[in-house]
Amino acid sequence: MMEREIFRKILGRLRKDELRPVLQEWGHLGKRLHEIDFSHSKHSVHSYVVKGFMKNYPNGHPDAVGKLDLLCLQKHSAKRTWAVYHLKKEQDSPPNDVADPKEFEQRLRRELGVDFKKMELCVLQHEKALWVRICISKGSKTKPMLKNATYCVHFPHTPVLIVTNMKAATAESIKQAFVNVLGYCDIQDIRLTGRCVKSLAQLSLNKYSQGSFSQYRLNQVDLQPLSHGKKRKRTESEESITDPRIVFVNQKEKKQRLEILNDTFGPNPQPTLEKIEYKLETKFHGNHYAPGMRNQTGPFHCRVKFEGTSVIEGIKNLGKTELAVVPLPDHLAKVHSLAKNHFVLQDKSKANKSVQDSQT
Amino acid sequence: MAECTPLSQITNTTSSTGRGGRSWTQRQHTPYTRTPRSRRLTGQGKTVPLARTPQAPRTLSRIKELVNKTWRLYKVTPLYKFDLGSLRKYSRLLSAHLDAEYRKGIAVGVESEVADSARFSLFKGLKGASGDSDAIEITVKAKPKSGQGESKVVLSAILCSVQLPDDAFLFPESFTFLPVMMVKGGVGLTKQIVSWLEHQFDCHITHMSFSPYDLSWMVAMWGGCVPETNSKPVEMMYTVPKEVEGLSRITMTIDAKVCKELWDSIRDPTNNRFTEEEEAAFIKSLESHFFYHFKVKLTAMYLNRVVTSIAVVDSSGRIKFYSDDHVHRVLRHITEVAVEQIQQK
Repeated sequence: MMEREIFRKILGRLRKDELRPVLQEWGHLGKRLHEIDFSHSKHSVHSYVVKGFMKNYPNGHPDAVGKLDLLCLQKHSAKRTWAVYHLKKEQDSPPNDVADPKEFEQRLRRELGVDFKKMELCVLQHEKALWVRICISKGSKTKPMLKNATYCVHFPHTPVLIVTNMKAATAESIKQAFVNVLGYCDIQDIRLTGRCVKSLAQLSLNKYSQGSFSQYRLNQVDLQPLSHGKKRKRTESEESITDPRIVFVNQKEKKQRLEILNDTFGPNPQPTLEKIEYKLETKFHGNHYAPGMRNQTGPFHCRVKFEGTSVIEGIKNLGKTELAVVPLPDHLAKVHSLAKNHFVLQDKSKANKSVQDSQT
Repeated sequence: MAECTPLSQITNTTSSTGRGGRSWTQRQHTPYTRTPRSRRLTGQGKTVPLARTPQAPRTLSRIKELVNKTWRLYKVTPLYKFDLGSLRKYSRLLSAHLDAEYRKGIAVGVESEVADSARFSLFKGLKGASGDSDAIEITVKAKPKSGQGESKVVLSAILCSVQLPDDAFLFPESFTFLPVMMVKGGVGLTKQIVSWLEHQFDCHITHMSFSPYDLSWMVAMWGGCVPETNSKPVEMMYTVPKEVEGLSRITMTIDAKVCKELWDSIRDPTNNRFTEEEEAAFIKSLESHFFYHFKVKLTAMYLNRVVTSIAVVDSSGRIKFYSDDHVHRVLRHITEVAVEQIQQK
């Protein structure tokens, strides 16, 4: 039966140690969960789970698949690439935010039900955010397919929506549904993508408190510095070489560099981004080595991509290890406060000014 | 910048001219490679075919089969007593060897096919000049284990030499020099074939790997070759040193048209060879354009992978051709690099 295969597929995404807590939260197994012996092989544990579910609900349960899929995704959200959307509202429109998952589900179902007759919808609350799973079937007779499911994360009372796996056919309807349900007037892709949902949320929600301002957000700043005397700071040297004959000549430059980097990036860990892309449309600036290009007036089209596990941290380390000259340019150093990771760099000119104004 | 001195004027002085024409016996045995002052870009080299010699018709050339496939490159020292007439004998011997390896149980058991037959054949169309030896192709076919179904090609290897540089090895007649081997196939099977070739022809076959310097020469030479159809942007991928945690690669992709403009502006069109100064100008200008925008020193990173409209090459020796018109040009350069790397050993 198709349901069995779907269950197996979803359960196969979980690791062995994650099975029990997820199934407990799922709740559709009830007492039968205690009968399953988790020390067996993964394949047999999955068979027990499927059997137990079939015994509980011989005719199936409409929300079971959706809920299990969403719970698995919450554990492994880093496997998918997420894109961030920004909801816009008109100046004085009344707020229509919703924080209750059940109410959110009802509203969405009403909105999406207008366009789609057959769909699976599931809303769960997880770590202060509402996680939504929308699975729409193509035809009226076919069942919704697992790989077509769109997942969204919405933080209540904020205009931020983080989405993954949105298919072109249903994208517009889903976006419009969210706009209507939450009482906004438009939705815009802010060109911020990544794998870590938490980091994306941080970048888009805390846009004005990143870098060195993160100290205030995280309560790391002493609000009354004069109320107690200065503690004697132990000078920590990064190099643990204690030989007095070794003299580091560039200590001063190093200190200055680290100070500048700390000012721009802040002392706290940076949000993780996997990729930053730049599209350069400026004039060619390598004329010192290629004098023949001095007469070129057109833009030198090229693209640059920085990739890694945590690119913002990596850029900070480039400055630390002197592979980059400090102070770094704003479009590289202030990525944490710009809430996007796809940039277009153009020359400052009157023609481009209007383009820049419309993009901000 | 000096031209290659003709072989008749071999001197033993350590001249500062780049690649002096010296045979391998007279070469200085130092651990450094002599960086070439200039490289061949186009053209035939010293042995140009006479106007009346009939050339192989293009329909026989099988270069199209090389395009759009990823090949692994190996460098091969000269083969001893390789006879073009006994290709059938070699096919039989290699098939027997593969069969014996399989029976011994050494052969990879993961594959569902049993390597069945190996065939040596001439690969037409890859000979650059009359001084080159003919290119040889080795194909290994396998039948599926279940015994049913047709046998299909499981590994394909091509040994070739395209326009050997004039000051390469001088070897007696019994040696055949095919310095470049391109292989497409499984790792285990490749290892067996390599060990058989080494044993049979007393040669030495190793992976070919390219240093960032080699790759920067390649992107500089071919960055300006933009075929009319199917032009790809020129891409250079740098890996970041391990001390920088969090960042692993930086990729710079340049539009094909503007890259060609840059290439034309630094190039001296009268010269057939591509000089070191031109290569340095190309790379340095791109890196300084990058530095102007990002203040990041690309010169300190390792160039790992290079994509141009005609080929993509990476540092581990994998290559893929995109345009069949330019396969000769790419292979000519690869031959030169292979010869240099063999000489260095």
